[in-house]
Amino acid sequence: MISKRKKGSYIGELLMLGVCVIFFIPFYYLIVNTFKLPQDATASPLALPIKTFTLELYQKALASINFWSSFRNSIVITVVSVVIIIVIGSMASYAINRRQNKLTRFLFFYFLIGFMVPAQTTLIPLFNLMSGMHLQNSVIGMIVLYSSWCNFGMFMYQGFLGGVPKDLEEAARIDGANLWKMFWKVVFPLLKPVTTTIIIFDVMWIWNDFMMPYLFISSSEKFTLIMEVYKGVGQFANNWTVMLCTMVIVLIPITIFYLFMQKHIIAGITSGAVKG
Amino acid sequence: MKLMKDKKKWHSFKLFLFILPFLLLVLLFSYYPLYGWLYAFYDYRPPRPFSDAEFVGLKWFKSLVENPIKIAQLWQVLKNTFAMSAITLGTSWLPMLFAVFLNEIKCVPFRKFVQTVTTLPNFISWVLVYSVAFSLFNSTGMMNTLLVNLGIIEKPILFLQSSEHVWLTQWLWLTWKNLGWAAIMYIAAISGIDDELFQAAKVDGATRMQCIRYITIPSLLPTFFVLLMMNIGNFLSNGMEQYYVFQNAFNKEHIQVLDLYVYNLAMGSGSYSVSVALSMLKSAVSLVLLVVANAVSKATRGESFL
Repeated sequence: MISKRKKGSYIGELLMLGVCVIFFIPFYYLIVNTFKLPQDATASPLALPIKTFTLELYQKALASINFWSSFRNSIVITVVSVVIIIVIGSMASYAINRRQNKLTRFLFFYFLIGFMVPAQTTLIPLFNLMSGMHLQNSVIGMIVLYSSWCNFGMFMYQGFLGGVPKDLEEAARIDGANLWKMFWKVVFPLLKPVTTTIIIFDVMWIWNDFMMPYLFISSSEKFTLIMEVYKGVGQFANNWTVMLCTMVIVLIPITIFYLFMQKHIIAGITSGAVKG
Repeated sequence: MKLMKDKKKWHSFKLFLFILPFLLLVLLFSYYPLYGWLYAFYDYRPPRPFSDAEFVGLKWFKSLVENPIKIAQLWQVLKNTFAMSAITLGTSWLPMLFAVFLNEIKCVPFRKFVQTVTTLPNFISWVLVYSVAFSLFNSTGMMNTLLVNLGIIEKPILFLQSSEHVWLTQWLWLTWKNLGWAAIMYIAAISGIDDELFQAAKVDGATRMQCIRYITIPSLLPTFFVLLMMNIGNFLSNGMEQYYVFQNAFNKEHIQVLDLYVYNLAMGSGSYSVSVALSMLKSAVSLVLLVVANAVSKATRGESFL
C-alpha cells in the first residue's frame, strides 16, 4: 500500500520535471549560446560552452552604440512611471474611497469607463495629441503616457481601502496632522500589500511593453531595450548572435525583479487583489 | 460655526486635489482621443487633414456586411478569433490541474523551483518570446540543426513561416508564457483550503486522488468559474502583441485575430475609417458579452466580477 502510493507520487513528480524541462529549454538555449561563437552554436546548439567559452559576443553587444542608452531609457521609463502611478493612483483612490457622494461615485465610473476605451480606435488621435504636446519621440512622453495607465492600480486600491479602518486617520487628524502628511505617514504604509502587487504588475507591463514605444518613439537614441530586440530580430537581421546577448541582458533585470518579488505575488493575490 | 464649515469645505477641496492629477491624465489620454470615433463616419485618409474628409454616414459599417471581399476577410478573421478563444476557453482548466499537481509535490525546494521556472516566462515580453522562438525554429535554428543531424529530415522545416497549425502553435506559445502565472491564482486558493478537511479525509482512509477529487478541485471551482466568465467576456479580445510579432506573409491568413486585423487595417493598409468602424462594433459586442457573463456569474454563483 505504502510503496504503491510512493510510486504514484514519483510519477507525478516526474511529470512535473518534464514540464519544467520543456519550460526551461528556451532559456537554457538562449543563455548557453551567448557564450559560444556562432559556428560553435550552429554545430552543437545544446552543448555546454566548456571548451568554446567566450565573452566576445557580450563585449560586442555592450559596445554597440545604442545599448547603454536603451538600457537607461528602459529603466528610467519603468521606474518613473511606476512611481507616478503609485503616487497619483493611491491618492485618488483614497480621496474617492473616503468621501462617498455623488461626485466620487461619478468619478469611479469615469475611471472605469476610461479604462475600457479600446486603444485601437484612438491611435491616431492619441498620436496627434502626443505630437501636439511635443511628447512624441521623447522619454518624458512615454512616462506621461504610461502614467495615465493607473486605472488598474486605482481599482486595486479601491478594493483594499474598504477594509482599512479609519480610526488611525481620525487620531492623526486630531493630533493636528494635515491631510498630505496624514496620508503618507498613516494611510500609505497600510496599503503596502496592494502597492506591492501593483508594482509587480505595472513593472511587468511597462518594462515589456512594445506597442507604445513602437508607435511613439522613432529615433534610436530613445529606444527601449524591447525595441532594440525587435529591430534586431528576423530573417534579415545581420547581428543575430549579438542579439541573443541583448536578449539575455533584457531578461536579467526583470528576472531579478521577479525572483525578488516572488514571495509577494501570491500574498498580493490572496489579499483581495482579484475579486473572486 | 462658519469657520467649521469653511474648514470642511477646505478639506473636501484638498481631497479633490488628490484626485485631480489622475483625473486630468485620464481625460487627456482616454477621453479626449475618443473624438477619433468620428472618423468611422467620414472618409478619412491620413495624413490628409480631417477637415478635408467627406462625411459618408454609415458607409463603412455597411461595407463590412455588404462588400464580398470584406466579408470573406472578416469571416476568416472571426474564424481565427473564435478558434483561438475557443482553444483558450477549452483548456482553461489546465492551470487549475497544474496547480493541483504542483501542490502535490512534497519536496518543497523542488516545488519552488518548478513554480519559479514556469512563472518566469510570464515576465517576458512577446517580442522576446518571438525572438526565442525564432532562434529555436528558424531554418538554421536549434530544432532544424538537431533534426538534420539526427537524419530525421533532409531539408530544414520552416516552422515559423508555415501556415499550418498556426492556431495550435500560437496556443502552445501562449501556454508556455501563461501557464505558471495563471496557476498562481489557484495556488493561492489551495493555500486557503482548511487543512482540517484533508486531515479528516485521511482519517477516513481517503487516498490522495480522492482528496484531490473531492476536496481540492471542488474548492477551486468558484475561482475557476469567475476566471472562465472573465474569459468569455474577453472572447473577442485575444490581445494583439503576440499575433503582431508572430505574423508574417505566410501565416497571416490564420493568425490575424480581430484586434490585429483592426490594427493592420488602420496602420498597414490605411483603411483607417473602416478599422474604427469595426473596432466600435467589436467594443459593442464585447460590452454585451461582458455584461452577460457578469449576469450569468451573478445568477449562478451570487458573485459578480464587475
